Amino acid sequence: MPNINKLKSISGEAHIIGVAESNEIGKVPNKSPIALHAEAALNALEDAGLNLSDVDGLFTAGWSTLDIAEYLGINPKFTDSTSVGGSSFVIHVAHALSAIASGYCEVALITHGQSGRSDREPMPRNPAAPMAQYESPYGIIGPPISYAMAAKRYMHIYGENNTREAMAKIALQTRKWANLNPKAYFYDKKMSEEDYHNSKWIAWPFHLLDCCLVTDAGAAIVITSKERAKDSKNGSVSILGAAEGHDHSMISQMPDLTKAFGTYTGPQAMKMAGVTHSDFDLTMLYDSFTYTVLITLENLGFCKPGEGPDFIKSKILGPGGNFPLNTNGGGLSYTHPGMYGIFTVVEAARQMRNQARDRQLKKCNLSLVHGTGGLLSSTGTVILGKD
Amino acid sequence: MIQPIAQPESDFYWENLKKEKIFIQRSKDSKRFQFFPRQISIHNPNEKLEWVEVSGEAELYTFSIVYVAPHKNFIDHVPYISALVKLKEGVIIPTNIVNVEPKPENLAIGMKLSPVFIHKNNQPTLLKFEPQKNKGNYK
Repeated sequence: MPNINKLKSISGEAHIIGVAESNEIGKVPNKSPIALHAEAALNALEDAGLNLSDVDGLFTAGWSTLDIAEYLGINPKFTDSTSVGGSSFVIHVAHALSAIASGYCEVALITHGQSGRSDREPMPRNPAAPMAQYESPYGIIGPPISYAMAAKRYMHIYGENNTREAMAKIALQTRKWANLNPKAYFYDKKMSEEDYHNSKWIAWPFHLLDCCLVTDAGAAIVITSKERAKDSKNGSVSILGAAEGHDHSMISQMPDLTKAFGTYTGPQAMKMAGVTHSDFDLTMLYDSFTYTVLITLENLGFCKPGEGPDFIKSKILGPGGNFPLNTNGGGLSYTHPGMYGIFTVVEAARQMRNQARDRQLKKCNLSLVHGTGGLLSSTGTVILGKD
Repeated sequence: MIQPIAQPESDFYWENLKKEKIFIQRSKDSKRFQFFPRQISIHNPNEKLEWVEVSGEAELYTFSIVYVAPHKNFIDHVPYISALVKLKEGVIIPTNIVNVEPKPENLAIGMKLSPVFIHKNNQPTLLKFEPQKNKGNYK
């Protein structure tokens, strides 16, 4: 079992000192995915006030760090290509804390780059994996169908109308944040309730507006030791708690379609950080689908199983509200190149370092960041605190 | 469609589907079933596995109606019903529900299902399901 006392002893030993996206995000057909990694890496290092030559730990997902390090021209002394879906980059933050606290590296660089919209060739799948044998032949391919089947099960247990209402509210309130973020894909486009309910079916019970975007984008994060973070250029954010894990790969193997692994990673990360639900000023949850947000709130323990719809009804998630959620506009309305997790960390760090411009929260001292990857398969939770 | 590529531990499963027989793995001592076929028991790695023929009687566990094809090979097939079904023996199998118009109102979680074997040329036989007519739900 994870050793909570040891984990508590490294709480806060590493800090995020730089975050950035690639120069452009959204539709970027003139840049390759690996170019987006590189562009974002340089931007994040600029934000951190460091150079590529300072980097001695490299983390990425979807790609091997071999390719990224070679492209950047660096020789990392700590390397981590953990790739468990879109949550991977949140998990990398935990791994960076661990590597820095134990001395493997001092400056960790996490990079992401993906051209979900403009890729010239889709990412190949492993034809020997069980998924290719038991799900793909039946057209059970990709996230929308799998998450839709989970959502239908939830509706069966807890009721269809209240679930639908909650999913609509998540989509609408997230769009309001996107309308404040010039980098958001839907910055200029408002969403009405009619827009939501009239949007076409992708995989019933999911409307188009229950589903995240498919964009081109890169992002990167720079993390260093507590000591070295002290004189960082734009301020730093402390990594106070972290937990990760997974309990299946294929949706047909998920133990309970209404409970992802956040039921473990949420409470565990909070325990490590010594904080509780009511302490957070900002909650950044991977919103691959509206349903993902609904069950993540339950799984993390913000409310009990089945109480997600009532919880969402009782809160204002959008600008000026009492439960700020996904203030960048989320995967639903800001950007989602395929593995979005890194952007949840980028936004939390921005809010806590007063870089969020029009959407800046008045007070943001403690954030919960949570990634869900694969087919509700893996989760990573990170707790970030302002210095 | 996408062809499944059988692996050594699943050859027996796919060969039997061709003969319209459904074989599922079971742990020999504890008699617990598992799907999909593996080299080891997920219930207890010390137990041996045995193949058991089952009837294919099942109930609908959950479903989605797919309107946008997730892959070019399924463009001519939408809308179709993707589903997870629970065999009487307790395991959950990913599949399609066929012989029913793909509309949410035609399907109910818990409805009883029977197996349908889909043979095509020399391709592996797929195991799909259809609603059992005039029969109630499992409890």
